[in-house]
Amino acid sequence: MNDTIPAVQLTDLHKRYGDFAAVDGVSLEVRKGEFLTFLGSSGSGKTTTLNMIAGFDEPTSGQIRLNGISVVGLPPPRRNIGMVFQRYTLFPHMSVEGNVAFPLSVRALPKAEIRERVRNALRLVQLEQFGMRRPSQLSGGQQQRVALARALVYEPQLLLMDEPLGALDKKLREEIQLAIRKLHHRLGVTILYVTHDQEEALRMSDRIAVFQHGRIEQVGSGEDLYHRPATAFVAGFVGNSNFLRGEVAERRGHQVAIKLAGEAMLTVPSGSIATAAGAVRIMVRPEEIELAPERGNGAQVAISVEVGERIFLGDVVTYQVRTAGGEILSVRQGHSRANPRVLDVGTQAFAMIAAERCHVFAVA
Amino acid sequence: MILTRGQGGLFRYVLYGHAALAMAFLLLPIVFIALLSLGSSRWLAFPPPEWTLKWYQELAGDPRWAESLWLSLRLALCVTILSVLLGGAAAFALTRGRFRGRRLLKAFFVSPMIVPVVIVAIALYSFSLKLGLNGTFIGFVAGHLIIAVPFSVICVGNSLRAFDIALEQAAAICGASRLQTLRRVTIPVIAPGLMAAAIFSFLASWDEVVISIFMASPQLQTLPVRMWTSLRMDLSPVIAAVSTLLVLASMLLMLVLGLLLIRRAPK
Repeated sequence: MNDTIPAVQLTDLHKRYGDFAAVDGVSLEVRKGEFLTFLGSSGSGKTTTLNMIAGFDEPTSGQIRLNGISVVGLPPPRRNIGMVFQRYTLFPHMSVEGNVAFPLSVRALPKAEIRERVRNALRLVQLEQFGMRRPSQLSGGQQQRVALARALVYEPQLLLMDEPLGALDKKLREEIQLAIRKLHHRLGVTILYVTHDQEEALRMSDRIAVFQHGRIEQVGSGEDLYHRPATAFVAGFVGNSNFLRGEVAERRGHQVAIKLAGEAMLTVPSGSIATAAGAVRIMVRPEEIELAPERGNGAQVAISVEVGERIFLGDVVTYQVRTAGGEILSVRQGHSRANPRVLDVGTQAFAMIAAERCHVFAVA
Repeated sequence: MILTRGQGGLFRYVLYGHAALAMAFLLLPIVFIALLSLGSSRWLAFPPPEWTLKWYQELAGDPRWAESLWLSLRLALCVTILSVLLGGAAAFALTRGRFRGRRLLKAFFVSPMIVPVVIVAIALYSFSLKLGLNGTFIGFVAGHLIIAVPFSVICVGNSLRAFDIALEQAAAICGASRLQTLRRVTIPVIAPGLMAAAIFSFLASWDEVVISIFMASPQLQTLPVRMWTSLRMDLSPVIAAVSTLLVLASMLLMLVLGLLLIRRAPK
């Protein structure tokens, strides 16, 4: 098969329920063997998109291609997709082996082959001793591993995972996250993973698609989303962030001068706000702000602040500081013997921000 | 709480006594009938002067009783199968369907439980007279189905509401067709509900007397009808023997149902 054909190709996908657009124009290409995560809050359209790929929902309009072939209108059993659901969806009346054998026996494979492949699949998720147990006799994590074995045993072209770890506690989550990562490396299967947990998305994915209001805000690696957010929503959703109000004061070629709420001026490349006039929002990460008792050199913007709350976390000290304009910034500073400075609560200081670390977004 | 262990003192014994009286009230008539069936008195004197099995022998010796038993059994089995099929299918539509008037339709399906049986019987009688179904096996089946189907709709409906639809999605994505999913996932998972529907349907037909009296012909008399007519002609301890056997059969079925519920409970 040609490797340049995307494993999944969504083209202008829409799903409407009456007046409500659950999915509102999603286009996306997933490469073969890629681990791509749909990240978004509930109601953002990520699960509806996944269900349309699985065939549980039909799109109102748009195209879904798996390996270049349209699957719109094809019932789920004929799409050759594996899926792990949020709730444990093991068949309660079958043993673990019966569950894993189910996809093979509905395909009417020979008994000997089914036995062999079930054994291999259970070994893959390290549950080979549990074959005769009932699902109700297993822990949540074990059940989800059985579900994973059942989804992989027929070697589907694509594996869908709909918040598979949502019902598990934190320790189990991390254990199974690791197991899924390993399986992905070992089998090279294409995985589409849905979660609302950004840490999980960052930990597991090759790329992340951030969903909001039925649209994809941005697709990119974790670094892309964190350091080069395309929209204010992505900037606020992925990682910790500070937003400052500002106003476009002057344009000089490719540079824009922005007046901050205090009196400070910030000059940035026009880039994403090429046409913006008036109010803008400036996002800066807490660790990109330097807090100092004195105004620094001219390469940085210095905003005069008052130190509010301070939390000492060993290697890191976090502050909440208040600007003259009444905006609260959180600041995260590394702490070590070589850099032992700690500012006291209530003192006046300067928050210094390098212009190239600022992300400026037009206010919609 | 009133019943917390180690509290309540004397009041607990009042409650025990109350429970014992309630059970006696419910069970004594049955025990009484069973004892009478084993007594030698033709006039059902109590306590029985002597113990005997002769009423059971007389029962076994009269082919009309055996005919009625056989008819009731065939009837109950036919009704059970049809009730589970029809009621189960209706329950699927009422639980899964998204159509207007669903609640109304559900109330309609359960209405035979609320409408007095005698009204159903009279209506059925006049209707089946026109169709020539009176005194036929099919007429009996149709009449008993009216009483039995609500049980199936309720039992299967409850199972389906508790059924996680994601199981069917999981089966579908695993490659199972609609039919394979129904046969290998849905039906086995709701099997206890189907069993309950079958047992209640069987008992509904087995015990049914009002509709049967209207439907009966001299040739076709179900066991309860035969009991009713022979009771009107003469009060014989054979009736007590038949009653005892019926109670035993019912108890056996309820026991099976109870065991099924217990088996399901630990999940």
